[in-house]
Amino acid sequence: MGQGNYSQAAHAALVADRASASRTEVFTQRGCHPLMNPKGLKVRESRDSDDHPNSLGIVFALDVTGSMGDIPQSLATRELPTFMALLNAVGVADPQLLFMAIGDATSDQAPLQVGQFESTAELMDQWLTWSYLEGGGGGSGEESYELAFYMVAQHTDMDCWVKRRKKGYLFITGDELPYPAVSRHQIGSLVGDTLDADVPIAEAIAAAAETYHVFFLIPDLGRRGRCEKRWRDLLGDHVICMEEPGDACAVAAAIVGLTEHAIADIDALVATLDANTIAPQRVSAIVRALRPYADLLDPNAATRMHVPAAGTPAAPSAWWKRMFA
Amino acid sequence: MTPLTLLCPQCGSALPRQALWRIVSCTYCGADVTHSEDLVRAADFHDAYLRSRAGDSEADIACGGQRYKTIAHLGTGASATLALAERSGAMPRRVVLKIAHAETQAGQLAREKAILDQLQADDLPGAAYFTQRLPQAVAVGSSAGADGQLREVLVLRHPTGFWGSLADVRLAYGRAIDARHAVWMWRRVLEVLAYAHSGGWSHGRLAPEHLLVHPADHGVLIIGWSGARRSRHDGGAAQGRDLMQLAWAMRAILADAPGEPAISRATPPPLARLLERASLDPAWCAALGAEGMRQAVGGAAKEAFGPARFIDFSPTPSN
Repeated sequence: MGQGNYSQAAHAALVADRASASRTEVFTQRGCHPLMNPKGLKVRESRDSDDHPNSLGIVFALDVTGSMGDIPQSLATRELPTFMALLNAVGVADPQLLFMAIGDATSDQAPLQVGQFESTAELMDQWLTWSYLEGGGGGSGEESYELAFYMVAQHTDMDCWVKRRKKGYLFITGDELPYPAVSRHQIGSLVGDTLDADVPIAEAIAAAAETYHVFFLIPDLGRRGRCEKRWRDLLGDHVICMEEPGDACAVAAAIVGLTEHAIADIDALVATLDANTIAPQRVSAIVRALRPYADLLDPNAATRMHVPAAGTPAAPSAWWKRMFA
Repeated sequence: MTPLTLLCPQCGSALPRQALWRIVSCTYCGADVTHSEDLVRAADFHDAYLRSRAGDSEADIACGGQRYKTIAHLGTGASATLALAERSGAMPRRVVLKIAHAETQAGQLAREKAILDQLQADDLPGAAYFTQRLPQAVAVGSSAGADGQLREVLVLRHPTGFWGSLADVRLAYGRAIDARHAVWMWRRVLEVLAYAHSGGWSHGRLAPEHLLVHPADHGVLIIGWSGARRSRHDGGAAQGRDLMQLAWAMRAILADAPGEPAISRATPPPLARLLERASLDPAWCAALGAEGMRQAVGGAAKEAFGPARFIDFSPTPSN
């Protein structure tokens, strides 16, 4: 998949038409769309073409449980054209997007929905809005995010990796913990694969990370408390704590730009966001969210920290100890 | 139900029924066999995990089931040495390693981690904002040092963008910093202290060495929480002492000369008056509280400099 040309104007018009539409008007599915049902799915392909000779596979795995409907809504009514514009601005010419929807496999009707890699505005929008926002989720504080790692590791194939050894991107949005393992029973019933044993989540992540840069986006600071620690243990500085859900697209585009070295550093990121009419207060929030990841990529980041001369104590000075110790 | 006999395609012997959904080893010829057409081997995921750990051999510290490679030495405190490090594996993470000195009392870093964990777990008003402005502990454990001795190690999340301590700033300048910068530093610390104090905490060791500065965001991170205490029964005396210590830290960065910091004549009078009282009168500090002190600093700054505005700060002097 991935044929056809992307038109920023067409995408912006498509989204503008429904800017004030309610969630139920935009997302009309009341069950898993048959074409997004992963049962029997073999492979989702991101392929080069004459129009797109340098395809780059990008997967958005969107949590569609009750607390997380904001991000699909903002993608469909405002932000997706911004994402594409930012990618274009940093020189990522041929992105191909695949949307996945993630719920809770222990309680939901459609805990895993999988679209196709697409290059055109209409088809990206089609798969996004075909997603069934079930709004479920169990009460255990866990959702089935591990299924996303399994699916990209096992059921996607990208020319960016096969031909150029360039990894794709997996952005998972969510505000809960993952289950500790990919359940072979769930994989059997949802996908139809015969997995011979449960796969610990760290192993599913490692397999996905061989061909994707994987990230977990937490929508706001209020929700980081319940899941950030576990996700950081799993994904390190690839966990991004945003300050509001509407920043997801700009954050994801900035990650692609930084990782592809199309954006040199945080200063260049600020300039890129400013030039693409992102509001100044949002720019600050996006930079705060991304600074740890940007530092990870920057070989000079450690040199910007002050390293005291050898023998300089970091303990309180003599005068302070005299007064207070 | 049709009976099904599973046979090894190599030797024809019977296979267990598990061969329908996973790979089994034939007990006769030893071949690995499956009858599933859609089999996915969990072992392939495990192999990917092992490949992701290939960098572990380059790591020099192990703690909490993870391995870390040291990037830079960051300083030596009274009880521990600090280093910037990166977790090995497919999912890297920048951390600060606090490695106890040989003579440091066992369990001190574990206690510090417990305190930081409690600070992070507090669900007070403003927690979502302020817990990001407090150190985050990752793990505590022990690791062999260069001398082969086991040392206690505390792993902390690396506070990105922070340059060094206010003591380092004072040392770099070799003179007082601009009082307008002292104002935002003072107010940033007071914001976080107001949050911590509202949970009953007192830091107890608010020296310039325990205040890290973030030049770009005008932020200050309070570190060195190992001596923190939680009590709601001392009438706010410990919190008042925190505020007094903080006033002395501000005096230190505004002082003309190193050593016990005298209030400089260059400090604008409204700030100088506030600094003097805050550094000498813990009972007044306790009565005012951190939020009251923050407002007092804001008022004194407005009197001295007019309305607040952002001024770029460099932690080292530019001339």
